[in-house]
Amino acid sequence: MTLTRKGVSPISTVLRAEQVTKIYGNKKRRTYTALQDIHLEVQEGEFVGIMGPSGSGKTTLLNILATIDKPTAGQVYINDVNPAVLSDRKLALFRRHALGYVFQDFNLLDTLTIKENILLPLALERTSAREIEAKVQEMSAWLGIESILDKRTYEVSGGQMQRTAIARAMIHQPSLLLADELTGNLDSKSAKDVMQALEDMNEAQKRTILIVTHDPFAASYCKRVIFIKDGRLFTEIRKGSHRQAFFQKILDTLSLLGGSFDDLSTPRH
Amino acid sequence: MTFRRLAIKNIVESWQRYSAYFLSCMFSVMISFLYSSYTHHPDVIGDRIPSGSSLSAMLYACEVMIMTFAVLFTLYSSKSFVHSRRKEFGLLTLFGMTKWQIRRMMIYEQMAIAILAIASGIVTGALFLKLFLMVMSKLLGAEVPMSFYLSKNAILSTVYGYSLLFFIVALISIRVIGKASIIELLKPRREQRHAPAFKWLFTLIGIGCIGWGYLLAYKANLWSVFIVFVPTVLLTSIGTYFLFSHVSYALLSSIKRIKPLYYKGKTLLHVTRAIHRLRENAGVLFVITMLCSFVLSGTSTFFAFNKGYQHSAMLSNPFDLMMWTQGEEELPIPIDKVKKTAQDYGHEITSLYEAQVITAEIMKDPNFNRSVTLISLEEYNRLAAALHYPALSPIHKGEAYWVDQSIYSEEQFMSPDEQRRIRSKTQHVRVTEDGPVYTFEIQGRGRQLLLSTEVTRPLLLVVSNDDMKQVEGSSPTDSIMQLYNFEWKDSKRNLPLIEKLEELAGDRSYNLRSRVRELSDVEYVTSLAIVLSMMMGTLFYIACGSILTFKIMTDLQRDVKYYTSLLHIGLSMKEVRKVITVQVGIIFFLPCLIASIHTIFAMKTLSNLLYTNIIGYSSVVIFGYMMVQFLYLIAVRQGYLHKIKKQFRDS
Repeated sequence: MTLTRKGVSPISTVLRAEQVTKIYGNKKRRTYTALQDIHLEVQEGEFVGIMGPSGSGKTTLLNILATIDKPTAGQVYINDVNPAVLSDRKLALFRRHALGYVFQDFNLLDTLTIKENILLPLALERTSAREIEAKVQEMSAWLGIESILDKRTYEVSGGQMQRTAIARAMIHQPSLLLADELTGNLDSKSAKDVMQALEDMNEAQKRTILIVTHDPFAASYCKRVIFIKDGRLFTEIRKGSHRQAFFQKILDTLSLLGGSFDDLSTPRH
Repeated sequence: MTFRRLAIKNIVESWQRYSAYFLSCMFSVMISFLYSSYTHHPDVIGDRIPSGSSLSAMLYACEVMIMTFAVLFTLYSSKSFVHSRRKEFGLLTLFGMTKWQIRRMMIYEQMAIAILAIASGIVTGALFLKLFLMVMSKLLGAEVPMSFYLSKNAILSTVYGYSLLFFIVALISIRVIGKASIIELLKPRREQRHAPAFKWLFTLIGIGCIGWGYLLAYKANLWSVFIVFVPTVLLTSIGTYFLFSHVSYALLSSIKRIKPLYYKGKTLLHVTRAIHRLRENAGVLFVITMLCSFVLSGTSTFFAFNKGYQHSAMLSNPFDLMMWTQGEEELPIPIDKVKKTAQDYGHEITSLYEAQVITAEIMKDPNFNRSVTLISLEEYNRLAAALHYPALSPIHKGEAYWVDQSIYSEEQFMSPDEQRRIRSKTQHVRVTEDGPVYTFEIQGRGRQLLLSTEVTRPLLLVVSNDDMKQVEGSSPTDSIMQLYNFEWKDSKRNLPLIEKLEELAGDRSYNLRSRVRELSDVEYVTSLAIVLSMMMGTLFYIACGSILTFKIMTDLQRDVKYYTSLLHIGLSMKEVRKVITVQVGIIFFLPCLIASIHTIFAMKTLSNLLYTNIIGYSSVVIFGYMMVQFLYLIAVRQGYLHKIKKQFRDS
């Protein structure tokens, strides 16, 4: 289905951020610039990582891209729509249709089974029950979680929870999947599983993915990594053919970037 | 920073967490203070208020109940405070605070809240005192409203009582600071409360108990009620508990199986949440439902009795005023004097109907006697015309009509044998034991209230004019009564006139019957019941309100996380608001709804006993309660939305 869409038009820009600036602070006190003139474009089918030291503004940027937060200046376009001009209700609908979001702490609902968590966005869209079943099967097969569909969230591992969260974020086929430190709460084995699942999605289904991460290992699965420092774009590097080489390149860039990367899994919530 | 400062700072900083607890404490202090101000009021002590002292005793009982509830509530809340502050205590311990220091800090906190609650409770109580006393005076029918009086004793007893209470609670609650290690305290607690395992057996027991209880209540009558009362309450209670813990699960799970319905919109969210919340909170919901049922049934009963008395007072006095004489007696007040007095009071007499009746008895055999009142057809028809009742067609000598005047048909209370005799077509009547016996063929039977049943017999035998003359001739004058029925304008506000007439009649005021007097007597009798039911209602509102608020407060953190997750998934604020309305609404209204059904069945029993339909009255009470709950729901929802918005922005 993604292929036919691609067939109609050549590669299109899914996300475009122009001169995005975010300034925190009130009128009296000193202000703090979290983001300064960020320019960013993500094409359909890309797998982009955003890296930067603590306090570089990664999460702020992601929140703005996810339309949860609004920039102080500059514009964000998702599928050529500027979410800032939408009403609250329209914005929620837009977010629900166009974006999938994966969180560090999974954000699964404890009262629902794994399967119900995955199908929730479709139920809210009032998709027919048969179609829902089919899509859940397809999606869970992709992510290797078919065997745990009837389990509860507290009965499965962190990696399985994160893959469930990815399934939920992707099941309604959003134009863009955003993920915030999605490996932050996972052990290395689970992190690997999750990143491989994302890579699969990107390569086989041509899904567009943007992740924010501390973790060079997670970032090495991306096709392109953008580094930001102190709220400004620092540089960007692209993957060649080898993930191992890319991983080394990322480490080199990080040491060039300086700053603290020790706190790899600082909880953000 | 001293401990005292730290404690006070804690309260100020986390006011949100304390506010519901504080308000609840303040409210119970206020109610206690009002009640004790009443019991210490000089008018009550000096017995200047009708039935004031008997109410005092009941108010003492109410106070004790409020105090008891306050103890339970404060204990429960402080326990759950400790749980919600685990992390804080963990940090403080980590920084070197000893357990005893934490306990000291908690005692300071609790005492600060207590002092604040007592002070503000008494102040708000004093603000409402005048209103409360006025309402009480009105309800108790005091001639002069009770004056505003701040009793020193009332203040002192409230202060002492509650200080002691809060201190004991504080002492008990510090015990909860347990043996948990620092790391356990610091780790966020994953709240996985497990509901009791589901069993089909309990589901069936639940349905069976409720069904059986309802059946008993529906079928109950005057004889069986004493036997079935306890079983009915027990069955319904057991059934209600299983209804929340098991039947709800069975019902909701069956919705889960209907995929097209289950996967539609927010049904998925509602059903799964309802399953969890109902089963988790089965105990609390059960307690609230039963409290609610008892109070609704209680107030409905009082309400129904009050209305019923009023209704019967209206019915049994068809005319504004009836004056009567027996035999050769003089009129208590001459007719002209009545007319003049009425005019003086601005009530013009519109009509006066005189009638003569004879008291006699139906004689069937020596074992069965029943009094009747004889009236001639002519006079019956004249009175009936005045009251717009249908007239009876003429009859011959030796014939009669059987008119039952009782409000609740007396036949219902008779044994089958008595009923058979009463229904016999031929009835023998005599006026005195050794007088002649008259035989009448009953031409027709009916129920119509025509004369005050307080004066005449509930059974009226309408005979032909000739027969009446004959009976009259052979009867002693003592058994003949003269009735004078007055009607005047503006009959609703004639209590002063009635009082004046009663004064004129002096010790013969017994021979006057008026609708207004009887209504005012009824009001006096039932006012006590109403006051009591109001007190009960207030207690109940404190109880249920506190339990629900607290339940919601303890779950707040978890719920806010849940709703924030929904926002992240992409629901709009408006949709989340709807979700909250449904999900919190279930917790608020389901107990209410079930209690209402319980009440309706309880009222069905009462209706069976009273032979009248009072379900209508109880629905008024239920509706009032629902409205209060609705306001409560809106307030809670606002609180949620506020928190969720904040959390969403911050994330």
